[in-house]
Amino acid sequence: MKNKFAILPLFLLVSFVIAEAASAADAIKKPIVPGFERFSKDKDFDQVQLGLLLLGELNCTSCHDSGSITKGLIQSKQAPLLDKVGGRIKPEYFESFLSKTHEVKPGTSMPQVNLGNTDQEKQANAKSLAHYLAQQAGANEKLNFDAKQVALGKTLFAQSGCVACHAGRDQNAREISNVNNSVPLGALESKYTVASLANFLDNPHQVRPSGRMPAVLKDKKECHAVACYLLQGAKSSTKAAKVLNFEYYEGSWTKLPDFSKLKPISKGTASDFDVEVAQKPNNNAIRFEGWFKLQSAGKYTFHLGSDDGSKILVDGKLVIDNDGIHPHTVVSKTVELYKGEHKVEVGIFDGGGDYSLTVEIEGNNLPRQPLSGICSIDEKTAEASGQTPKPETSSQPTVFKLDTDLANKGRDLFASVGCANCHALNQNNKRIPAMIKGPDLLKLRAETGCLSENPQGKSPNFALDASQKTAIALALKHLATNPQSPDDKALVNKTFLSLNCYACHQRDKIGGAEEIRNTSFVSTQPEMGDEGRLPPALTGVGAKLNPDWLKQVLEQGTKVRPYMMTRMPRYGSGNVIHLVKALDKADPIEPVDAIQFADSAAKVKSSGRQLVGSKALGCIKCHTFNNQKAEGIQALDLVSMPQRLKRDWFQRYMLDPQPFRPGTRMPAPWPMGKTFFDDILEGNTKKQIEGIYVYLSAGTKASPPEGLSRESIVLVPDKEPIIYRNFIEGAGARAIGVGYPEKVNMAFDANSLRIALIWQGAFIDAARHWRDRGVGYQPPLGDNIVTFPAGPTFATLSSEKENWPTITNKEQAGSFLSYKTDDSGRPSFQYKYADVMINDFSVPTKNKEGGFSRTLTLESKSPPSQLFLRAAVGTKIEEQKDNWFLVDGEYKFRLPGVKKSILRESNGKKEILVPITFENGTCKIVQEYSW
Amino acid sequence: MKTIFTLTIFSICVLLAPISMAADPLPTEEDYYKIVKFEIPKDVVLEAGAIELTTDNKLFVSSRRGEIWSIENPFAKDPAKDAKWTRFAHGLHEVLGLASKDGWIYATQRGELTKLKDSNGDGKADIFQTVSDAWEINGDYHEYAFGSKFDKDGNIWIVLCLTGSFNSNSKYRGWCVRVNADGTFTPTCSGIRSPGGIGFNSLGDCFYTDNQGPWNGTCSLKHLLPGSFQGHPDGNKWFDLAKEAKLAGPKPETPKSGSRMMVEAQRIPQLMPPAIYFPYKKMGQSASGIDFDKSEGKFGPFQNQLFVADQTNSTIMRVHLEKVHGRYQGACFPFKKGFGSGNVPVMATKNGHLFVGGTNRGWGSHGNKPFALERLDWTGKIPFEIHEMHAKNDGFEFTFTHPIDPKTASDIASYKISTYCYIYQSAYGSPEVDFTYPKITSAVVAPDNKSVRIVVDKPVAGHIHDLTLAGVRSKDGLPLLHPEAYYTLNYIPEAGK
Repeated sequence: MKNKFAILPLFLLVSFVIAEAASAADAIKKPIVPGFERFSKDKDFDQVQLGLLLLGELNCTSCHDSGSITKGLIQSKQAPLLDKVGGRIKPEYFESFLSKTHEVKPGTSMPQVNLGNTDQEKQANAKSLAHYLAQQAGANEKLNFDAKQVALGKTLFAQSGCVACHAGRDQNAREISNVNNSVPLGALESKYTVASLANFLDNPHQVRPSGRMPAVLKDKKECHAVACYLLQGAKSSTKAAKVLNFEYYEGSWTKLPDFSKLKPISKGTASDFDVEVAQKPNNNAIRFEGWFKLQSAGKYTFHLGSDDGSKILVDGKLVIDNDGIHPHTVVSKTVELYKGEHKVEVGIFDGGGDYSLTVEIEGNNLPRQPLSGICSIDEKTAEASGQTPKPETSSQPTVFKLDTDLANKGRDLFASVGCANCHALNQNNKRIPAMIKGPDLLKLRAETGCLSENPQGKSPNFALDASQKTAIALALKHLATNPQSPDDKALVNKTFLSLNCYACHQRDKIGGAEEIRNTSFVSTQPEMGDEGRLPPALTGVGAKLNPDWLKQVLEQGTKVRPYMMTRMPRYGSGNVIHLVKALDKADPIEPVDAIQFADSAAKVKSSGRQLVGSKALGCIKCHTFNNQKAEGIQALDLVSMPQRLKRDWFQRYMLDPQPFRPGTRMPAPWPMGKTFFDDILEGNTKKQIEGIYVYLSAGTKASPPEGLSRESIVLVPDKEPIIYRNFIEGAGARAIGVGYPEKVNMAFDANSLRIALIWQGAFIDAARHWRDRGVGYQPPLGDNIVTFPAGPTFATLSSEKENWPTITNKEQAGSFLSYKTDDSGRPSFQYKYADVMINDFSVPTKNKEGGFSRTLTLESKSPPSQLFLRAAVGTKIEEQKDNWFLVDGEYKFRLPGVKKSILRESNGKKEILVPITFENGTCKIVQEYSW
Repeated sequence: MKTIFTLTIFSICVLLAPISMAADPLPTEEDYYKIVKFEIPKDVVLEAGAIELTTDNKLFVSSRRGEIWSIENPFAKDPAKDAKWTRFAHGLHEVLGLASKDGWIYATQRGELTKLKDSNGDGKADIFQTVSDAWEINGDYHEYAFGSKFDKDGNIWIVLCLTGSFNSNSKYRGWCVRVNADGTFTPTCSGIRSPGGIGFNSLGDCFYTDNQGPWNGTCSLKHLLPGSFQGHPDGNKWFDLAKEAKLAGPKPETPKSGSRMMVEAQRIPQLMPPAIYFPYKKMGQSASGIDFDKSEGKFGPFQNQLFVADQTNSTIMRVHLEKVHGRYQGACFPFKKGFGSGNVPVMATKNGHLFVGGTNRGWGSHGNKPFALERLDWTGKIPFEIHEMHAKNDGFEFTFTHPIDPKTASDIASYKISTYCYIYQSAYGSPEVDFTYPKITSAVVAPDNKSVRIVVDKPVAGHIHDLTLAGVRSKDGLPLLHPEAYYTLNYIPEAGK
């Protein structure tokens, strides 16, 4: 491989690598059936079942008559319907896919069809078929690539459930190749347009009716976003992204200079290790720096080519020294690298003449390719930025021209080579009939026909590997014994295998999230642990769920766990509806005797309500109720329970949840079957459980239990001020709110040492912080809220022109010392800035407008010079009568007793500064506010 | 499977019934320890965060709503009637630590340690002085700060919960720090996740409880040895900062997720394995406040043992520690259930009482009151309990609070044992894993009938040893009040020790 590349001209190599990279999983040829891939490695797993799975997934019965074989043993996957396929799939794709099926779409269950006896004939027939398929035109709405949708698409792909079966894209938009048991997507960009892919995602069952690809996305918008995410690798996208930092130097050298001793002429970002960033052709040097991420540890070879000298350092260590004056020379070296992020630095200089640089990497599943392709500007951008490649519209114009003669030829081939056996395609409202008939399924023999090493004649080539052939052989042997149709448990297992339900759900110790995908299952509430993030285990689910609910879940998906990001997708009713009955029968539950209440029906209901409320079991502390939030975690809505859960199951589960859901955080509300509440429903546990079930059975009409609503807690200062230290919006995490009986309020920020807010009227509603866990910042409750700009109250400036400092950490602001309350409970704040002790005391003014009079007393043994108070900041500061200044028309202030103040422009705003002058180590300033 | 569950559940119910109906009922916890309730003044929401008793026998109780109340007559026979309540302070930020010294009350708030004083003698604090604000908060509700009493060197120990209990997004989140009365700040241990309480044992060593979550398979009691790493790696990002502040020793390596605690502890010398795991559900679900019995017998037979609260279960658990291989480990036992709300702070007093404060806001509890202040008093009767449990090279030794019946105590059928541990992982919590079911090969009762030595084939280092002594009877024929014992066997003692 290496040698072959070496003699290719560079430009060819690059284009080859890009084409190759598009199908990262190039090693895979065999059909990937996720259930088979995952469980065939498990020695204890029933291999016959896996063989039957393959017979269904490869749709063997479309050529091989299954005769008397009992229904249900094989659940066949129908091939995509090809009506209007020309509108869905790019015409160029057909020919390449038909001639190199397994190469173009790795892992496909479509076999390589033998299209002729000679290569020439094969080529010609592929072309004809391609034209025929392209002729099956269909319309797509107009939908273009939108780089802004990529990030959303990425999130949806990662979190809604796509990654349960597929692998995501790496930072260069290439399909990640090392996620086991993934159904490869292949080079989607050569197959779909954004519009056609979005359309497919919106309703996959329209063309793939067997439901193996479920519908997981909510609406067209989401489909568009995921399509943009999956197709972002189209064309020259990686070229457009800036993936490297560079510094540019000028000088005359014969060897690489020591960059640490030089000052760059300029700095910037580049999309490649390319000398084009140089500002002139000769006598300069460039230092590139970036990060790349390796998906696996191992040996990697770097190829560094340059004219003149260059060096490459990885993680600070010199890997290749290609220094000195020379023509373009490539030096290669292999090093051992760990999995993960690596820093790369490349230096190059030019002493005159030609100037060039190539940096490539190869090894450990990475074909030789430009290193820049996997680089990013820093360690984090790769994950965070969601690069913005060029829109698809900038690609080359379509070259495909439909040839009707070829299409007519293709139509005949469609039946004669066997396409029609699997694919439905209607001509004049009639499906094109199959013309090929293989031997009956029960007559098949291993190592012949499709199962032979090199299938010949009409036998298509599925590229099965040895384990697949063995499993199929076992299944055929089993079928020959004329087995009975599967029982309910087996039927469920079969469906779970073929639809890959096991990717997300565990049932009877089979399946569940695979370790490599486990972290993709996320929750909006990490505190709920695995219960909040992993789709529920389905062991005993037939005993648990009401058939009507199960039907709804299977047909329409569900979102009863709003905190779980992974969605239950839709598989198409016909593919799953049999599970309703099968699960109900497979998981029986022993009935719990009917309960005779001594109380009236109304009393039973109200007792249930009492139990759910905060003064009894407090279910609403963790469970939402009719969409109203719980105090703590937001577990499943209580009013959905009877709709979902069988009554017998509910009775048993409530007694002891652990055996049903091992590890659940749901406590046993009746530990050891005993009640805490002897006075409710005769203190009888079963009656109490039933009472809750009856009460909740009213669903959304159930009247809310006690303790549900978050009533406000308005703090009203009556005789004395109320102090409220908490998270106050606009005043920071260490805010000290003060509400005065005079109906003026303020919030002091103890981190930045300033009054952050003043407002009038009502003080604050403490319910946010005092009703439940206390999430988030609470804004003031009253009116006329004045928000003072950020920044310290005092600062030393080198001159009156210097900008007022901004604070990035609380130490810069000075230190907060204390507050003291006077006899009326009014606080004065003490803090220190630059050896100056400041006492900051505000009292409400008595005038009818309302306001504060603030006294700042400063003391210092070694007063700093050039200390200023910033009295006001605003876009507009107007002087008014009685020495008042109006700031932005919002509030007024004045500085009685202050002899000198400075009005200045700074940072585009007007400011009033007061220079501080100490007398006998003290200084006192009064500032009055009115608004 | 389903039928088996059903049978178990209902057979338990059936079994319980005749016991409670028997003519001579077995003693219950109430016979030995009684919960005495305080009546909290109307309109006061005392979601208790911390408790301190000052030298003049005033009880100070802080609340999550930022108030501090002082209570006179806290030892009154009927405090509901005789205790006198005064609001000492308000407006503070969720106070979860109270201590006192030289006339000052020290309150650990979310963002700082503050000392308060009533300088004019009107019963209300008027000076609120910041002692240290060297750590930070960012507005995340989970960034709690739990503070201890003063240690013998004059430090308050503070454990700082992570941001959202998963990450460390503010300075020193995920750390234990010490603050001296003069404000000297010393970063002390990293690796904290979500503490529920902090306190000392009788020797003055500091412990805290951490809760089930990432890197914490279940709730546990951990020893805050200065320089140690308590297991959650996210706070280690502040290590350079801590080094500047004179924390000794190198930054610990990041543990491998999915491993086991003792495997990682072999590899990472700073990693401190929990002294006690509280098996999830079996013991509790939210371990919180800690204190030790300092009453010299006035609180019953458990001198110097630790009492640890559980918020979800509204219980107090009992812990006996010993040192093996230089590190604390030991056993936990159920002790007292039935408190009014979700227990958070506890304070044991020298005169033999245990004050317990409760809140269930945001986290539900078995005790269904939204908040409570209670006092646990000893009735003077000694319950038949396991007194101490010691690990031996080949098993365990139990001592008891009453002489035992040698016949039942030497019968190996009186004992049941299983062992398990937890996955040490970045994901939330862990199931119990790696189960073993060793055999108890002998049970030998000491000549004085006060202890029994069991030989186990064989103990598993790094596992919780879950024992039930259901068959053991006292000399008077009583079963153990609590037959369960859970020993955290991080290390197996060498033979002969």
